[in-house]
Parts: sequence; C-alpha cells; structure tokens
Amino acid sequence: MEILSELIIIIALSLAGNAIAAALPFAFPPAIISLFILLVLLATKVVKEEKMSRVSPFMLKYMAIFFIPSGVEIIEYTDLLASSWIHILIISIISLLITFFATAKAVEITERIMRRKSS
Amino acid sequence: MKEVITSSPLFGTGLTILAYWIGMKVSQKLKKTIFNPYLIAVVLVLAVLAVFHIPYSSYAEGGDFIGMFLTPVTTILALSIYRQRETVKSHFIPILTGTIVGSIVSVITIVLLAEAMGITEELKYSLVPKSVTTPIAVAISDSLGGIRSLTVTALIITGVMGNILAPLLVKLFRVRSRIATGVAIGTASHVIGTSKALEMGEDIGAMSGIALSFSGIITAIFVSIFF
Repeated sequence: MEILSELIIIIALSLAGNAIAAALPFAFPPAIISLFILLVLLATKVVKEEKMSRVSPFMLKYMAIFFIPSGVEIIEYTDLLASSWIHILIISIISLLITFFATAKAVEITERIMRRKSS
Repeated sequence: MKEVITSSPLFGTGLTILAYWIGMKVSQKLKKTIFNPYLIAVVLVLAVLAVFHIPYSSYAEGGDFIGMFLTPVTTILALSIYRQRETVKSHFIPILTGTIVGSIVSVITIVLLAEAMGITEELKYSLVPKSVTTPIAVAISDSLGGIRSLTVTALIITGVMGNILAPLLVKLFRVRSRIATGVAIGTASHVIGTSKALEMGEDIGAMSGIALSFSGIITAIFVSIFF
C-alpha cells in the first residue's frame, strides 16, 4: 500500500510539472518544477520523509540506469559526433577549469567577507 | 527468431538493466573513474546492438520506456536535497554564492566558446547544461531543443576530467577552504566529480553533493531567463 501511494505521488507530481511547464509563458524544464513542488511538500511536512522511503531511495540509488537510453542514442548522431568531437572536448575541458576556478574563489571570497563581518 | 525477442519493449528494458548490472560488477573490481558502471553499460548496449545487427529502433522500444522515468527520477532529487538540509543550513550563504557564480560562469563560458568556434545552435544548446547533474542536464537540454545524447557525452567528459583533475586544480588555483573545494567540484563536475570529492574527505564530498543539486536548479533558472 505504501509503495502504491508513493508511486502515485511521484507520478502525479511529474504530470503536474508537465502541465505547469506547458502553461508557463517561457521554456522551463517540467522535471525541475516537479522537484520544487516535492521539495516544498517535504519542507512543509505535507509529505513526510518516511512516506518517500520505499520507491524513491531505490530510484535514486539506480538513477544512472534511467540515462542509459539517452547515452545509447549517440549511435543516431555518429556523423555529428565525428565532425564535432573536438569542439565538444575543448568546450567541456575549458569550461570545467573556468567554472571550478570561479566557484572556488566565489566561496572563498564570501567566507572571507563573512569572517570579517562577524569579527 | 531474433526479431521475436528484439521487437518486444522488454528486450531494450532487460538489456539496459543487464548492462548496468555488469557495469556495476566490473567497476567494483576495477575501481577506476573511467570504468564507471554507466559508461560500461552504454558501451555494452552499443556493442550488443552492433554485434547482433539489432537496429537502434528495436532497442528504443524498451529504451523509451526506461527514459520515461527521467522526470520522476528528477522529481525525487528533492528527497536527496531535503536529506542534506542540516549540512546546507551550516554553510548556506557560501554554498549559494558559489553555486550561483559557478553556474552562471559555466553557461556563459560555454556559450562564448560555442560562438567563437561557430558550432551549430543545436550543439550549443546540447552543451549548455553539461556541468550539472544528469537528470537536470537532460531536462534543460530538452527544453532548449538540444540533443540528449550529446549533452550526456559532454557531461561525462566533464565529470571524468573533473574527477581526475580535482586534486590538481585545488593546488593550481590555491584553494585553501575545504568548503570551497567541495562546492567547486560539485558545481563544475557534478556526480562523477563528487566521487573524487568523497575520497578527498567526507566534508568535501558532502559540500560537493549539495553543490551539484544547487547548481542544477540554479542553471535551470538562469538558462530560462538567459535564452
């Protein structure tokens, strides 16, 4: 019974996310809307954490399985991959380095400001 | 005979689960970033399709069924964020500033590099969300009109490089704060980087895990405003 009600919550929230995203005047990922709703429901204890303890931890643990088809789909884009793999590689690596640097420094500067304010 | 088996959606579903199971077994033995269960599983499925001359469309019958759970799985990420609330509370402001700055810098860097290299719009949109956790990245890629599989490819390159380079980048950029280290790893290289963060220390791993959820959500919001 608990498994069923948890499944119903997950599916209902997913569908609600789709419906709300379709009604928005701008493009926004439906799944993130569902995520927000569940987060609010958990934080306000409308949905108890224990309620989401049968299906959800299992799905989180094996989450990677759900992306395997998206990865396999690369077989349909071999031409594009052959012509642009170097761009993908360069963009991935350079943006990784810059993002890492910017994030680390932003945190360190924030910590320094907070320390100065509190002392 | 072959068609009887491969025409059922159960074929693609079963192959996906079997490939991941083998991937987990192999990665437990080899313990190297590049041999992560996901990557092994994708390569195995591709190999099976190639060796037995099974068309992608047959696999997709079951693959699409599994892919249908992308939204539910992303929804459940809320649970993992909620469970980390105590750690979030203790360093909320530094985590928030770090992930906001990092997410915006990531998107802008990718767009600028894409423009400079003159790649197609479709490829650019596929790469934009590549620093964030897979479910959110795929969701953003979909909403922009990118190609899921290219997003996933760039995302894995980024994650694996982040995992390998993280200790070096900490030295190179002279990052002294352990919180900054964790937030930077999670924001720049999502869950694959986080596994290295956990090796570097439990506190760094926890920060990285939170940062990857935060940066995913912030990137989704920023992208919808920016594009």
